[in-house]
Amino acid sequence: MLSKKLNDPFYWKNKLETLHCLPGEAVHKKDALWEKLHDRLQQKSAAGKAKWYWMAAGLLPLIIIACMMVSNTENIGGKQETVKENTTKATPSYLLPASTKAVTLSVSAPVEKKQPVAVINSKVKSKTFIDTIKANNAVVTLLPEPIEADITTNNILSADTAVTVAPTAVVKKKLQVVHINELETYPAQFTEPVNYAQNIKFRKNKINNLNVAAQQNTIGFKIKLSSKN
Amino acid sequence: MDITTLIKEAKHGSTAAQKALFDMFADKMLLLCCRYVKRREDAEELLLDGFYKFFKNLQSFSYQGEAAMYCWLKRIMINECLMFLRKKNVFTIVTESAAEEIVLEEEALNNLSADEIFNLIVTLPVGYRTVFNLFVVEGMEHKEIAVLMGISEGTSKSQLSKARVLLQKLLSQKGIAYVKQKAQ
Repeated sequence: MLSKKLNDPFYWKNKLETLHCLPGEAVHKKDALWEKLHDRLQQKSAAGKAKWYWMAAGLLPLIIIACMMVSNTENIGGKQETVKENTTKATPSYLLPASTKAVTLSVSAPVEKKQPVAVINSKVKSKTFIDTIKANNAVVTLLPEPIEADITTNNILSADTAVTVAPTAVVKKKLQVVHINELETYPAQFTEPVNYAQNIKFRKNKINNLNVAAQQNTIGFKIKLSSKN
Repeated sequence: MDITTLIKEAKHGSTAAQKALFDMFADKMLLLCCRYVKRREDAEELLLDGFYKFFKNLQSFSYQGEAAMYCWLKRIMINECLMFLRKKNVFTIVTESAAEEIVLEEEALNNLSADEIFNLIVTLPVGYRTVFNLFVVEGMEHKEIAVLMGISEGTSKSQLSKARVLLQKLLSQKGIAYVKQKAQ
């Protein structure tokens, strides 16, 4: 039989609770342990901070690269715009589309032969052409008022140019289909008799002529085929 | 300083409050660790790990009294010790030959000092000691012990009974209280 005391958990608990420190424990040990723990807590927090710093350092070049890429794309867009401007300046005015008012302006300007006005118009042309790509409404707003007045005065001159001629769609004439037998009067080509002999002659002559020409061009010798020898 | 204010300040990261809490509970926790782990260095390391976890998770802890806090800290330490034992794979169940049943005098047991009882527990094999600590001292059920140690409930029960028999034997060997040896 086991002792009842050994089965009693309170006995062990009470006995162990009276024990406050390990047998032969030095008091100063606790301070040393605290120092260790404190260092560990500090290190861990520093490591956590360092981790954030590393993450930030890793992200920084990515952000810079992204910014550079964005700025590059913007530059490319700007360059494209300039290229468009150049093309508009290089192309003759009559090749420009006639759908917008801006183009008619650019055409009319050189006809006037007024230098200051022409300069203004060229500027307007380059601007307005780019704007026509974006939106037609913007073109209307950009157009200066006095130039429109000039157009009205030089209306006839501007009409001579190719651009101002309104493109008219060619309407195909629909012809009535009638059978030949239904016609009352036959056309002459069907009524006249056909002379086939002439055609044959002509063909013969043609063939003979071709043979003569071939004989003249060729260099050769005749071989007599006889049964005497 | 009151323990409630200490915990509040420790939550805010006050080193002084943390040190005060450590001073308050370190001895008892070191004793607890030493009951599970024989080596003093291992026990100290586990104590530090346990306190580190305690301070790190203090933000999530809602204070409901000193007893609750003590229980929480104790549980952290026990888990640390069990994890350490599991890592070392020292849960080898010792099968002792049928121990002789010994009857001990109750008065003699009462006269045993806390140091002697502590030393007795520490001398038990790891498997016995862990089950004895968890069941007798911490008051856990066999089911819970089985889950924690990764053994069956029956094994836990048998380990406990064997631990008790061995304790009696140790007590008798020490000559503290020897009454009668039952002849088989």
